Amino acid sequence: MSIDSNQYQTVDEAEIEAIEGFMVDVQVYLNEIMDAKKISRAELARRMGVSRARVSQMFSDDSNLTVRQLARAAYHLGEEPRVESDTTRTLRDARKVDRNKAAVKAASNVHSLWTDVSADNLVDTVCDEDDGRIDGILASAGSRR
Amino acid sequence: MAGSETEDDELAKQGGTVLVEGDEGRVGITAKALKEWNKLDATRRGRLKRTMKEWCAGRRLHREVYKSGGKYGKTKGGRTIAVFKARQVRFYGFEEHMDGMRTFVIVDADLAKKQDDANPDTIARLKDRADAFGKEK
Repeated sequence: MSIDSNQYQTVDEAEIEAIEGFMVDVQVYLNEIMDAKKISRAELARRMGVSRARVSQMFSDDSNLTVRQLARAAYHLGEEPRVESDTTRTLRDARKVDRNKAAVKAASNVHSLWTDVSADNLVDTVCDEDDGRIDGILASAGSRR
Repeated sequence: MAGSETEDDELAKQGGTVLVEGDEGRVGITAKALKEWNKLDATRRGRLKRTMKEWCAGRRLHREVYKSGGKYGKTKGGRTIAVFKARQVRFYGFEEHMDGMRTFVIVDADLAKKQDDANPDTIARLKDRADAFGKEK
């Protein structure tokens, strides 16, 4: 999304900076994934069914990348992008704290359970070891009642 | 502008100001280049600041916004020239470990780049400025 500053003569300059900054962030996001997965711009163009020039344009100063196009590029890179900001991070962290509090409340002896619940008990669907232990504690606390 | 440097800070001693800081680095700018920075419009400033922020976070940047070495080469003193780019605007400098952190020092700018290739005079001037940084005071 290219923003011509002349369009924004009446709005706060901080808004323009924020918009342009986010556009750079989106480009860096795509570039980082392509680099990590060793996917060239030509390959992404092939996967998306667009020209190489169109992909290069996505990374240019004048990029007119829409959210839909970003989602499409991410899909063809095998990614499921999510938008995140300060508030969503705070909410996610708060949910984690609530969950941990629930685990502590459910377990009569958290330390022994924490020790008991080894890596073998980790739930397959979680990727974080602590999350797995929390699941194990909640499950153990339930089974010991 | 962050401007969080202290009196003990080598960057500050050399007349540099911190523009952007992050977990894995900071971008400083000399007084001469800062005058050019202050002339930027919001569009270019927004793009450059975020690019620098991502550099400070250690992220890998695409060639349209950042380039290190290559045709810009090195200075006589061995400093590798790198550039932050946004819409025909270039901020040139070099990367160095300074004050215990990864630091990019901007020493020169071109606010109206007319051609794809960098102006040889600009390159020569910025290389001199890069080598002079740290030796002027």
